[in-house]
Amino acid sequence: MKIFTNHIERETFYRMSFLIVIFVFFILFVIFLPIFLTPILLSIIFAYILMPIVNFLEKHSIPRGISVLIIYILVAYVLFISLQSSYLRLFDQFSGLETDIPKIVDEQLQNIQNFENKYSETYSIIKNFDSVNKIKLFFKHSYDAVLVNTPRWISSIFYLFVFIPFFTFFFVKDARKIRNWILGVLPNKFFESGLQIMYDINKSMTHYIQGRIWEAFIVAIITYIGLLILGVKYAILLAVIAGFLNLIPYVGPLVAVVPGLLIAYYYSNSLWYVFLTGCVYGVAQLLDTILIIPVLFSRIINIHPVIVVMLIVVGGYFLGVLGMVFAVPVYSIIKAVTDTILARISS
Amino acid sequence: MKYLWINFFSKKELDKKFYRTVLKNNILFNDLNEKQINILEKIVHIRNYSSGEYVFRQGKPGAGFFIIAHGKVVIQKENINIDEQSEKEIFENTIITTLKDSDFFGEVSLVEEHSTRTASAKAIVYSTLIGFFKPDLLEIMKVYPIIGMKILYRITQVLSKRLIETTKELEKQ
Repeated sequence: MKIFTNHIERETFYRMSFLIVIFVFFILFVIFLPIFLTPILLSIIFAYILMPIVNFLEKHSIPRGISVLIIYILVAYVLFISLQSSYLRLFDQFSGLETDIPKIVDEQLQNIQNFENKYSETYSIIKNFDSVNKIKLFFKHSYDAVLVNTPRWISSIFYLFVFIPFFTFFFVKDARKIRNWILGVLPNKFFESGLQIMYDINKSMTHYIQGRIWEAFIVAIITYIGLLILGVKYAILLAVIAGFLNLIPYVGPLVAVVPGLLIAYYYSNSLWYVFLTGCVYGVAQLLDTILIIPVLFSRIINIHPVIVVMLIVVGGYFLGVLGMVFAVPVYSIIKAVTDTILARISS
Repeated sequence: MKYLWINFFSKKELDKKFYRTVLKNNILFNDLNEKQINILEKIVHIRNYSSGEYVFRQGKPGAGFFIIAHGKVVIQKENINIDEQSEKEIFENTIITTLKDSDFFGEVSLVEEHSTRTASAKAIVYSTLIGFFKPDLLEIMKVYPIIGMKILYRITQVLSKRLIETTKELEKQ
């Protein structure tokens, strides 16, 4: 029995079916987007980091899929060795700090309370200030504003060790196929412009992400060397925190210095030691600004610092810590796309 | 929607072997071996154009060249003249050449920086074109420098030949 009387009917049926399928997928995508958006963004970031290594291996005739698996095996091996190693002890330091930080904070708050009690009779403004509770409230609000918004999945083993590596694997292996698929959707009229825009975005993102990772790594190394020379406790962990927080422009380095200074004061009771610790962080940031950034970022993304801070606040509001890290690159992509489209329209 | 359909979900009339043959026979890719053609195949773009659809317009930024896998494309110069009496714009299209299967066009924009198209290309029948663009060439040069070098060498040969032909034409005049 013939369902269609002619090829036009058949073609119309296929086109309508296609539209319905696309619409259903769109609805599902919108519903499930919040769950998948951040892990997929992280997977894309990791894909950009792995891309040069995979391209290098591909140049030597190793297929892309195998190259990614080789990298995963090497990373797993290094992580395993690090856990076993007596030199790193990163997780020992983390556990130690987790126990010590509440004691350090309580002691410092007690010192502030003692200072208030000592001078409140002489200076009435201090009497009513209640600085201890104000400080506690400030940190609680900061925690609520930033860390509470950070998706809970980040601590999920499933996401960290299955979901993200799975997506990263395919983003790296099938990067060209994904690109060609996206370009295949574009109408012919916009194809060449779309290709150029995609290439420009890819180049900027690669440059930016790889540069930021190297920058964070170098800042961590410099901080570690300085803290090691001074003999500051938890030097490795503080260096890792400094490197990670360096990913957040302006705000990150300021926040990173706080635990370092607290720990330096708690274990030395010397303001001079605290000053030297602060200098270590200062030197790391100075070298970052005058040496690392100019070398790694040949064309620095030109965004005004006020806009950068606003982006960080907005990013932090929506996605917590991850939003603060992603805010600037996402803005840079949108800006690059808009600038290119406007340039092509005006040409 | 029509253009989304024509490229994203169109009936595949020409198979991969055919595209490989078209690539291998093109002068720019003559020096590539089978393995290198395999790599190139994953990078090029297959685009379908309906009859009367422009591939690119004169004056627009260009990003690469096209090989006609199947179909016919006309290269035309578009001139805009102003009628002195009515002061209206008159569009005049001068057909430079008509290209058929396996011909290629637009290769200058592969190597020219900020290139703009000096003429328009329009499909006069339903055509399937293989596109190879500057970003793709740059990617090949980075990841597969030998392939990139071979393609660049052929590009310079083609452009030199065109320059010599143009010089001879001018001398005749």
